[in-house]
Amino acid sequence: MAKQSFDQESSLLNADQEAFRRIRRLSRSYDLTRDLRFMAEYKYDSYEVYSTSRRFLPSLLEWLGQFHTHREIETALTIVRKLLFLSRKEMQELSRVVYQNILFEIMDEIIRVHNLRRFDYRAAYRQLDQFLEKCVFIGMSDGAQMDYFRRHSGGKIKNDQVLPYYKIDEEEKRRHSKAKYAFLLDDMCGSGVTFLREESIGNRKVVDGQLPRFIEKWSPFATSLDAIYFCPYLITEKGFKRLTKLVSKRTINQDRSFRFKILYGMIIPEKYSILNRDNELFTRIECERMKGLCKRYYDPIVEDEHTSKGGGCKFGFGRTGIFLVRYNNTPNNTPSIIWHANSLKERPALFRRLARHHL
Amino acid sequence: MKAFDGHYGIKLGLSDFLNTYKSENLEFVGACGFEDRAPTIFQDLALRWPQAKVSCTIIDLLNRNDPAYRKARRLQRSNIAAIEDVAQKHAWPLRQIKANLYSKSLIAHHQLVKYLLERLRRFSGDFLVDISCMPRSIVFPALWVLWKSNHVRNLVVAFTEDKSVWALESQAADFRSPKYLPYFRERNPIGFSVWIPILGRNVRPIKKIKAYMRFNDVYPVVGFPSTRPIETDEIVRLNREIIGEHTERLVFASMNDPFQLSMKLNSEIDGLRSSFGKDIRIILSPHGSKPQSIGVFLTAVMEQTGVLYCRPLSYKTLPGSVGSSYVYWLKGTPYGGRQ
Repeated sequence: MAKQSFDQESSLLNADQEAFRRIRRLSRSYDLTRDLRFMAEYKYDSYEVYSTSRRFLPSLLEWLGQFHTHREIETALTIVRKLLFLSRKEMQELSRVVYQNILFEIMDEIIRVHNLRRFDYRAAYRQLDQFLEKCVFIGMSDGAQMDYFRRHSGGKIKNDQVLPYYKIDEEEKRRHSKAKYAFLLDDMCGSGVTFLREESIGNRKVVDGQLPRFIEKWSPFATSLDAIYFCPYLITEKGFKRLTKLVSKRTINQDRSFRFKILYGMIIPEKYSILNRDNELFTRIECERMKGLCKRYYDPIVEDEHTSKGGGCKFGFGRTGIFLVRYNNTPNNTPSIIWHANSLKERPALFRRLARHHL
Repeated sequence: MKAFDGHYGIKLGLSDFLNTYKSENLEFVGACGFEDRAPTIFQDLALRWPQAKVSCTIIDLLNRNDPAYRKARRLQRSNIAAIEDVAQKHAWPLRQIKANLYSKSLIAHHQLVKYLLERLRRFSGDFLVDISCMPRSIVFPALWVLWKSNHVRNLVVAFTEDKSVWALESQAADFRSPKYLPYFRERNPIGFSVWIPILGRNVRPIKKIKAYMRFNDVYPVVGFPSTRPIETDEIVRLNREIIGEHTERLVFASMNDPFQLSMKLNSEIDGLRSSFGKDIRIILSPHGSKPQSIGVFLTAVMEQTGVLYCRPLSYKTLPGSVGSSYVYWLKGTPYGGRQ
């Protein structure tokens, strides 16, 4: 349906303009298409998986082409209209905010440990540099941009306190053995399944994920930590609640040897999920239509043994149901209709996802 | 008294603050119009600090020149009654001050500033300023007086969100021509100028300023991160004419945390001043969220910038709905003041 014939009118337009012209013909609603060019230039074109010659608008044109009716196309454009796209600049801003939140948390800890008066942040701030020596900052994935994070500490965090990845060798581990506070940084936490989960193997319940693996890799020093902070720049409310619940029911850290807390840069409300009855972004009818679209254009080939642990990707891994795209990749928590492309090109992707890591 | 100096700022939930801090001598300043949230913080204060000695000042925002006066008065009546009821029950002295928001001249702050200056001659203690319903043309001069006074031990700003619009205000129906806010006028109107407008949902004031004034450069600020993440792109879309092709000049600064916003603005301004010298003119326009306006206030006093603002000409008379309340501790104990 999207494949329109080439005509004279389009002969002087570039690829983006031509794509936009054709997209406009597909939709009867001006409201849904009027900002597309602006938003493409402002942020969507910066999606790092795109090639130079084929950015947002041509990708959108191809993506819309798979839908069969006007209603489906308009539902798809409604998704795009309320898409949460986090640009590189925005992610860096979140990294800065997380740093500030960490600083504040440490000052609270100084007040607690040194028995200072409740609001004596001045005294806590004076002791901050010294206290920071007890802290180690660890990247849980390359998206954490640890170099950017450290640079924004204004020299407060030293080079050797920052580790780009948590899987390190014995020597490095020993060097950080005196650390009392571990800050685990990541760019995003969707459902939280990657970070911490319970799995049933036969009759046994097994705990797995980045957190237990970190504790295992950092053994025996991990057990002498006073606190572990999980610091995703971006987290969904669903993921936050799930992790908080799992930790509070002692899935991990049964003997309470360390405290656990989540410090985030921004939280994505549960009410942004199309699976939430009180969705704030879309009307109930729009949500139903979007769910229908996710089901009808779902390609089971997208699944593998890892995605099945999070309930599949039809509505996003962990049934997150939020249309979210990050400048460097689309998280699998986003419904697969946005990011999955099959090799036969029957299912084109709007923001193709590169598989980053396994669980 | 020591105040926020750009290193860290204290933002707390209202109940967290009221449960953990105790003031012996508090001056409460709030404003009362037609919105449902007007008495919220005052009522919470009475609930959690029933024994405190509190002196209350409420600004009556209504004026007969307001085209929607009758409806607004009807809605305001229950708010005033709720405030009077609390004050009476706790034997807290309550004074009401009139503010004229409908004059062509910028005079709405006069009565309050006059009162504050007089009060500070004989009072020394803590101030809790509820800005939920207070227009920025009153907030900025009032906070300036309190920020500068050595008699103010703790200066805490409180804010209740309107659940229907969250941090972003949308009551203004139309706007007057831009004017510099009192105490934030430009000292040297000649020279290289940089305008830093805080963008919001209403594009009209920003368009007005752009039409009336000329600046050498513009760095629009968009709220990010936000408790409602979708708002950032919505604001960018709405203000696309102002942003134009210069999207790379957009500054992202927190929608909900004034200290984060202020720190970000301070660093941008310091960067500009280190390149162009101290004489560079910086003009801020607080047309984003209320918490952002507090951040603008902090930067404006710390960096000595001008604050250019379009006052609302009239308001949509909607009661709104009551959301979460926060406090922003601008000055005092957390920064090294006396406890």
